[in-house]
Amino acid sequence: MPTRSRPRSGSRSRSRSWSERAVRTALAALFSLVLGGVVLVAPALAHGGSLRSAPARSLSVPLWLFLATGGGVVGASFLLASFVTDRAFVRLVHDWRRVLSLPAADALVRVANAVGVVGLLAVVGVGLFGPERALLNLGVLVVWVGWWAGFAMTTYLVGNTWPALNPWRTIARALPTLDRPYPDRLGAWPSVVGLLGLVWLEVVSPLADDPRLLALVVLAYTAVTLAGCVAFGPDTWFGRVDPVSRVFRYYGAVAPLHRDGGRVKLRIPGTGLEDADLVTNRSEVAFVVALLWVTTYDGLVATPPWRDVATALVGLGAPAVLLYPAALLVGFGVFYGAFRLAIRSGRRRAETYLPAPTLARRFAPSLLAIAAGYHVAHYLGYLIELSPTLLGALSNPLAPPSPVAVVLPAWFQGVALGFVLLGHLVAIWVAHATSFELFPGRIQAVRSQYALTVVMVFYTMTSLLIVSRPYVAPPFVS
Amino acid sequence: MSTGSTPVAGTDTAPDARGPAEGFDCSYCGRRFAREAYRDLHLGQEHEERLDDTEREAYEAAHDAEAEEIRLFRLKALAVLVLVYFGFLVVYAFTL
Repeated sequence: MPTRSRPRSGSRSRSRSWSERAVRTALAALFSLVLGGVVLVAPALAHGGSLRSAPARSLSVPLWLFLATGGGVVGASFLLASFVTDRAFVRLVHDWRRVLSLPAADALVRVANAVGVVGLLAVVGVGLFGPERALLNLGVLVVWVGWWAGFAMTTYLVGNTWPALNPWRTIARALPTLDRPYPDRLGAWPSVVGLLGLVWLEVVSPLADDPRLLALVVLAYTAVTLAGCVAFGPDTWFGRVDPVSRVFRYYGAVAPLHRDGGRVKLRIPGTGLEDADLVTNRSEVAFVVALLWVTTYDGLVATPPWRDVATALVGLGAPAVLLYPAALLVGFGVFYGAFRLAIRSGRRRAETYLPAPTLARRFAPSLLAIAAGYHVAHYLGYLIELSPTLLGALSNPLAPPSPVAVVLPAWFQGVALGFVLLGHLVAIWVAHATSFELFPGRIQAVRSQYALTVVMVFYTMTSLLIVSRPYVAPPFVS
Repeated sequence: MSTGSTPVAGTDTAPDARGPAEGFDCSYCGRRFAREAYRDLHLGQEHEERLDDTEREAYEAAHDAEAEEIRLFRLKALAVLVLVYFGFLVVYAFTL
């Protein structure tokens, strides 16, 4: 295979140092904001401005302090949320709704259907027969910049429009279906495996650099999806098996816009995560934890510590091919185990007879807000830098103009700052509101969240540790 | 132990089947609580319109007792916040 440019590596390393600065500034800013001082933010902002061309590892504070500040901000938010003990207010925030009248909603859905199918054809067609350079290929740009960065952001910032856009759903409607009953005992486990599998594939293969390979993977996904729709019916397939639809449905629960009884309604962002029917069983809890873990994993495998560990393990005779799936599963197990421990400990502290699985599925959705926050931190800079390249390729798919990238201004850090903060604050609030709904005692509700808050601090510090390491290309992959 | 109406299995209000024999059951929905105060608070929140005078009094007593507890908790939380704030302030002052 000829060596091709790796657009993702370069832009990811830029966005890494950029997001690291943003996170650090954000933490310092929140601290001063939350605790009413300006002492901490001034030096952090000053250093943030001067770090632009410095390597990412030169934090202006020691690593342990950087991590402790992140954990401290999450813990302080929990304490602040615990001051809100007015049940009526908590319920008011949850129940606030406005009905929006969307003109010509049916026509919009049909336009989205058409856009989805044309997009799929373009990704496969241009991917297979278009320019070989990834930065010039519309298929690669649409999938990574347009869809996985841009569209995914709209699902949690605006609302989940994937059911209308999903080209496979549109195509499957035209196909016959056998309507086989879906085995209930499988639950959401196939989509957990599917999500972990897709992320593993993304990490170990040059999916972002090789348009031909990407098109083939999309074709394979198309074949599996359509076969599944024919066997079980599109509603069962996209509702229970397909990992991509599930990701967007869960992200959509964070969003302010949602459908309720055929009407589009506006709610306070994040309050959809308090609904009891969002996560209904253990396998769906596992999916939520997997979604949080894969964003972390994606960053982890591109850090120097991972390179050192991987090199040492392969040196000891571990097969390189098993390294990535093993790390994926071990990390998922650690994240899932930590969450289960938190739920069990919370159950003891709250002195409740509610079963642990019930508590797990009610508290799991709060993690989705954190996952959404980190998705923004990972992809916002990437999206904006490469948008002109995407537009160029859209203007002329077969002979695009040479790629243009946006250079982000320094003030732009503040935008990511807001979103990273928001993810954690929303998660703390959602867990707080959920505990008030579950437990009659207000102190009892606060106690139930001690362990969960500790686990959220652990997730935060893990993510910050990864974000603060310099980018290195993952070893032992093509 | 009194079992009021039969709770539906799998709902949030179903008591844990493996729960201990002691506990305080809600006579309207059957949910079980570890403390009498939790049961009384639950009655006032979930079944307010059906309460008799004794239950209403118990709810109000539990609510008042809880308010006292919350005042104490807030003081402690405030103390921790202040400690965290000044802790970080000092650490940052010595590190930067």
